[in-house]
Amino acid sequence: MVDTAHTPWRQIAWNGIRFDCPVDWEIGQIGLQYLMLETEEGPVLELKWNPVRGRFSHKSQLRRLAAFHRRRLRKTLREGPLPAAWAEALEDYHTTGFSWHAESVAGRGAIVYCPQCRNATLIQFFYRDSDRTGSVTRRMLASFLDHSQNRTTLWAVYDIRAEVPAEYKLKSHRFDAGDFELAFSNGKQQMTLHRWSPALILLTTHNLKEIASVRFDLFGKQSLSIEMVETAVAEGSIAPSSIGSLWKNRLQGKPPYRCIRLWHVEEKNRILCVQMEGNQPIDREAFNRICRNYESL
Amino acid sequence: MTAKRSTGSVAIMKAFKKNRKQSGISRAEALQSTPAKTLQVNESRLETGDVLLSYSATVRPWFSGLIKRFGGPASGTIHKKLQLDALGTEVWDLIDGKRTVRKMIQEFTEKHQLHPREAEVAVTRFLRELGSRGLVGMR
Repeated sequence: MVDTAHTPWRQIAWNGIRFDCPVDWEIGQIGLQYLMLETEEGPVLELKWNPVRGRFSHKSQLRRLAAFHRRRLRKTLREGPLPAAWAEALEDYHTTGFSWHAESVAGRGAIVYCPQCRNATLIQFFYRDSDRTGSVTRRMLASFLDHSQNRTTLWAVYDIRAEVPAEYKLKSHRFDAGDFELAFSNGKQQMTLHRWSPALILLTTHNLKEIASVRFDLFGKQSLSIEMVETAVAEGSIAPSSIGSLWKNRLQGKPPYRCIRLWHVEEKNRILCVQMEGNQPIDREAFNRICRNYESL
Repeated sequence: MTAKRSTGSVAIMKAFKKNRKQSGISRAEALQSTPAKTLQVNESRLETGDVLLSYSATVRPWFSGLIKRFGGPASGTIHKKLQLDALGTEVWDLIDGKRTVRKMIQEFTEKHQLHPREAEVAVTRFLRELGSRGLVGMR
């Protein structure tokens, strides 16, 4: 890990946690409560987090961490004090430091417990050869937050950034080349964020309306029609016209209320899309707010 | 980026849930390698501008016997075609035996304003697919 004080930084926010890191630290693996950042040389930072039920014990967390390591590395795992700069950066949390080493790589990290949100996070940095700790780790840790200050959750990974009401929990995610999808649910409604690229290639054969029809399989289903509402924005919504159709949809297991908006972000060569559906009427204001706060970086 | 015939989607971005098998070389070394087209592949342009690749593939002996029984060639090779889509054609055109994988990704990223990681996964997956069919080699 090189002291990249002069390289640009960016924010990563995923499922409740957020932190800043150098732009060349790329997300290599991503899970619901897991992030592995890496450079071309290999992993540089790993984060795992989980809400804690009952009493939190640093010792049992450390034991669990040891269990994950291979036997050879497990022997080198040591609990120890945090470097002063790290302790200062994480002063709002209850922390335990640890370190381990192997032949070509070593790790140093902290188990961080937030008494406010009762979330436990394991943060570990990987070091190779002449790598050294420095202002990078301190700055990353100082920017670390494991809960939101307001009622929204920030999502900022790869080139997408969205603010989603906190009651929407992530159910699934998919990051295929050219096709990102984050699916949320609040128990009553499902909301999905899509990002497609490169937009110009997609728009050579289909317009936005057709792309929506293909992606959401709307062919032959006259009930939901997507229309262009602005030059680069297409939208469609459906609500049951009678109690009968509402129950018909419910019995068929189809969400009776659905709203889709997709728009072309020309300067970024992306198409963004928000879809909300559920058994209750869509809150248009909330839908508009989510669309406004969903962007391509 | 897809090869339209046969195996379907090539460019699934599994970096995001990557199967980390030990390949023997590091990511940095892989990006520094230079792909080159093999001589056995013939390329032609369709009206759309997309590339159609024609190549010979050796089939498994039992399948070769089956082909022979149904009146096919006895040589154990079959002729295959692979149609690339627009993005696949672009990457194919970037393979000149001089550009490194890193350079190809950089050009592809810039042209389509892609996220670098996204472009890297798409291009390397595509090259791996071509490699597995014997259409490109790495040096």
